Amino acid sequence: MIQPLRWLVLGVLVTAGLSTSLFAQDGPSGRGGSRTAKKVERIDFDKVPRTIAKLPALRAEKPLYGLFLFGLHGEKQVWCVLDATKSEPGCYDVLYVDLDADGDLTDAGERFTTEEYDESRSVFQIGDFVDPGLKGATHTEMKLTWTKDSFRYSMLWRGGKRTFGCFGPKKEVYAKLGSSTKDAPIFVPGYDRPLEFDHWLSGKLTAGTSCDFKVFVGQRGSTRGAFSSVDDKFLPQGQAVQATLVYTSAAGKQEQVRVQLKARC
Amino acid sequence: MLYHGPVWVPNEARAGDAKVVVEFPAKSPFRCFPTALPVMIVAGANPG
Repeated sequence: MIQPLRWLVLGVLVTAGLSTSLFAQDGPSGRGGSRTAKKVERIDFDKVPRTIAKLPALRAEKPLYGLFLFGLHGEKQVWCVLDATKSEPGCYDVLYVDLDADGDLTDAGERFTTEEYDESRSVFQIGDFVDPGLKGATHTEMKLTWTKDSFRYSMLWRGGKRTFGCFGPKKEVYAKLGSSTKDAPIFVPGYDRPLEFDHWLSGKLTAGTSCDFKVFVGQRGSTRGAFSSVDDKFLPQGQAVQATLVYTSAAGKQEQVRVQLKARC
Repeated sequence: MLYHGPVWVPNEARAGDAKVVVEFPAKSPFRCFPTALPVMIVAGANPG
């Protein structure tokens, strides 16, 4: 009787654990424990429209594209387009951000310029950002940085804790801006939605050893390198992340080892 | 920005594909989508 019970428990864990819908975090901080009436599902990035309704005349030789999703269901699309005042290759000093998520990047107040740029790096300070999908929410200190090898963003979610990206299991897969809307990476910043996880340099485990398993906590993006993370101070002291290693034993049975990830770095 | 801790991989674990299901503990006040992360187990120096 023990074996069937064990498999039943494992089945319930896998079925419930990997369910694609959950209820939203409670309250404006996204930290609440009780469940709200709003059902939230995992975002299907394949269904996200890849078009921008209205673009300004772009001058850069190779404009670059990225997409942020806001709103509890990721329903508000905020396109970012990196452009330049001159058609010189590799220098980006203009950034369009569709702040109101209406698909029109020609709106007043959605063109940002920077003096902090050269051929390898551009930094744009957006500042306060009124969330187009979360009523009454304003994020602060929004900053976007492009480099030849990466794209970084950071903001204080609702003026509180930091959310930033983009990350993945190793630096080599960190997302870069796309050369068109079709290959633009999609990012989901914030922590109002149920949180997700990805690991950092922990994809290879050695049998018979103890491995330091490291995870990001945040929101999955459209690719493994487009993860939006919270920082290591997000969870209050005493709160941990749980990891269950599910493996096949030498005898061919599925087994599991469960641990709490309590350390932070 | 990372949360981490030691995961003991038993000697009897067969080399090959495995997964780590990451989530918040049942009593956590935080909500999450449990995430199954694919990992690879490689044989140790002293395979059982």
